[in-house]
Amino acid sequence: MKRSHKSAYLLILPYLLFLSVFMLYPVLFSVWLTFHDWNIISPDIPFVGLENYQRLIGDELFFKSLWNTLRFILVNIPIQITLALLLAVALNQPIKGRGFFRGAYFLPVVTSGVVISFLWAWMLSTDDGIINELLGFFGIAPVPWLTSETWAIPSLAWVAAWKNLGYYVVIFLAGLQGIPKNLYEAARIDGAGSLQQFFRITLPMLNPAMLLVVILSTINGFQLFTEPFIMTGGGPANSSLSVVMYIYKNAFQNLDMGYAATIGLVLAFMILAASLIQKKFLERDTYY
Amino acid sequence: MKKLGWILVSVLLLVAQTSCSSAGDSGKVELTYWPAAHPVEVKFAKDVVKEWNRKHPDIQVKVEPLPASRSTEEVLLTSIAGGTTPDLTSNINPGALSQFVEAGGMYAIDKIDGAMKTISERTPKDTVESFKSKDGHLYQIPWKGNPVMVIYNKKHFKEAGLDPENPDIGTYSKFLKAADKLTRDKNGDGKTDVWAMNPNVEQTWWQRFFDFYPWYLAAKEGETLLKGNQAAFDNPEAVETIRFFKKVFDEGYAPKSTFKENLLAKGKVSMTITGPFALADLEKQAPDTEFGVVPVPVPDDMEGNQVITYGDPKNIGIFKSTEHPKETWEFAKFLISKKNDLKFLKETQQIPFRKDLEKDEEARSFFEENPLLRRFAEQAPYTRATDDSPKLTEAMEALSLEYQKSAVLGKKSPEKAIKDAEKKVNEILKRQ
Repeated sequence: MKRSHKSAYLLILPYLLFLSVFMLYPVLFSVWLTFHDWNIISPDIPFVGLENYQRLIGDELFFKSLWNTLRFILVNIPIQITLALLLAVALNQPIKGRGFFRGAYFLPVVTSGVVISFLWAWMLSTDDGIINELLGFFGIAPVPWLTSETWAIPSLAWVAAWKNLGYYVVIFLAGLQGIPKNLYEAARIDGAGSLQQFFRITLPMLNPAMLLVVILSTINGFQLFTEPFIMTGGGPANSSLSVVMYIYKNAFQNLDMGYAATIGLVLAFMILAASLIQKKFLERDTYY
Repeated sequence: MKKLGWILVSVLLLVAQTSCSSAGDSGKVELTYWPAAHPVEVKFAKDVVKEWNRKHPDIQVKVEPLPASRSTEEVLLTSIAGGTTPDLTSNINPGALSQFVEAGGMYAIDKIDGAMKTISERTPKDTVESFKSKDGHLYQIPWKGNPVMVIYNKKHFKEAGLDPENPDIGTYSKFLKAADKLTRDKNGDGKTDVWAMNPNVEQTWWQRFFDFYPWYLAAKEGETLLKGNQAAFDNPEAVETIRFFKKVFDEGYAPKSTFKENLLAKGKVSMTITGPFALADLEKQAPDTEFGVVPVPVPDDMEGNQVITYGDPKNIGIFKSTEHPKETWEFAKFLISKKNDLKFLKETQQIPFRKDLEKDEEARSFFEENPLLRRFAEQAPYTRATDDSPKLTEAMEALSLEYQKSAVLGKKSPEKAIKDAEKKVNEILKRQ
């Protein structure tokens, strides 16, 4: 080892230590766990081979939670992307109080998800929530937002979109600011209207940001936990039970660490696959 | 390479220092105690610990309310996984304890010198026996019981033309008839303003201890849900219990939503199914409202029988992770001393498992002043806990789900719900 190499290794040592203790070890341990049966407390962890995987294949509730999570993603991402894009474009204009609005939209991102979930659970309550109260003025009958199998997932998707909006606005804003001004100037000279400019210049030029946002929100969507945990408890009738919540239930309610780790590993591969597919289909070259 | 060695040594020292900081330095023992996060219980715990710490400078206790979550059991499990268990907690649900015991997480109380003597002097023998685990050991110090009953608003009863002092609502049909009168649209806008009752609509497993389970126990005269390691609740009584709650929701006697406020205190419901722990909060939130207490109703053909209900017992557990079992027991002994039991009764309005309570002058005069609590105390001997099974949570979760599908969502007949629940519970129990 050359001397210069040695000091370089020394410099990255703290990070490597951190990485191995808090990332590598847990990941390897949980892979190992999928072949074992462990209830957290007991010192003996018997080897069970592929039993956990076999159980997963026949587990209706796992597939239900997966379906719930996919439904959540399908509702959440379009709302999130449309709103974030619109807001980013608006906040990119030289409007008054721009700094304030940028800050205000980011506030929910840094607020605790638990607090937000409690707040929205209260606002979405069927019988004394402010949302139904407002709808009542327009003659709309109370909607069981969190207590019906139809509405629970869309409601959670909305709350999650509201919370994360600011984060994606920032990504889009950064993307918007990277678009060369001369493209718009040229378009204007050629007589393009603002809608045309948006669809022909802004949207295509935002492709890398869009890709990032879609992948990040898909990953986030797969990890859905806080909102259903606090707002619906996974109900009614497991209609809002997400995969991560199912992992939690198996791990900390049923003490089935091995099975929970198995679902976790399968979920990780699903996220990886979804990200790769999205990358393949969404990524186009952006020319400057 | 020498430098690298030094860095490693300093990192190790740092780690060693942080991990040793809890051990204390001057031979002083430090214990951590987790009471339930209920405000009155936290206050009680803090008061008791303050006195203890003053008297025992060598054994200092630190109070940390149990962190809030969907259930205490989840918190305890998470803390066991994270190695952050306290020395003792006073919110052990006997139904969930065997999970910990089976996994070797609890300290056997009967192995502590003199502990059994103290416990059996304080608590009736049957109660102590009922809390013993299958291996014959006692892993929990019996602490308190909260018989589940129905608290009602006397003014609402009067308005609805029911007798507020001795309401005749002891059977299913009488109860439902009263519920129909109590559910009211006061301003004529077509929406209900006051509901008769508010059973929880969520599928959270322990919520069934406050609707399905006490009703079932009353109808089966105290028979619990499992027999041996088998579900034993596919019977007409269980079906009728679900049918009762299905009717409550179908007829709109109860709201199908969750609320973050105390509806009984706010006058939005007329009855609520709960234990004596609700009294302190009602007194605080609605000091001018008069409440009454009645036992849970029974099927029509059982009228007049002694009602048996869920006892919602909570006990004190010492964790195996403690480094000071003796000192922890000493503190637990102080916690369950007669003086502190009386203090607990008065401050939290909950009933300690103490046999001489009725005979005690101080307690008797307290009950005279608090007739509602006395009703609960009278019910206390006629209670049951849950079945002792390491799979209880999972089994209750399955039952709870079927209950919700039938009673709340109306997607299944009560017969089918009970049949499916029994099948699922048996599958769960069969899995190792």
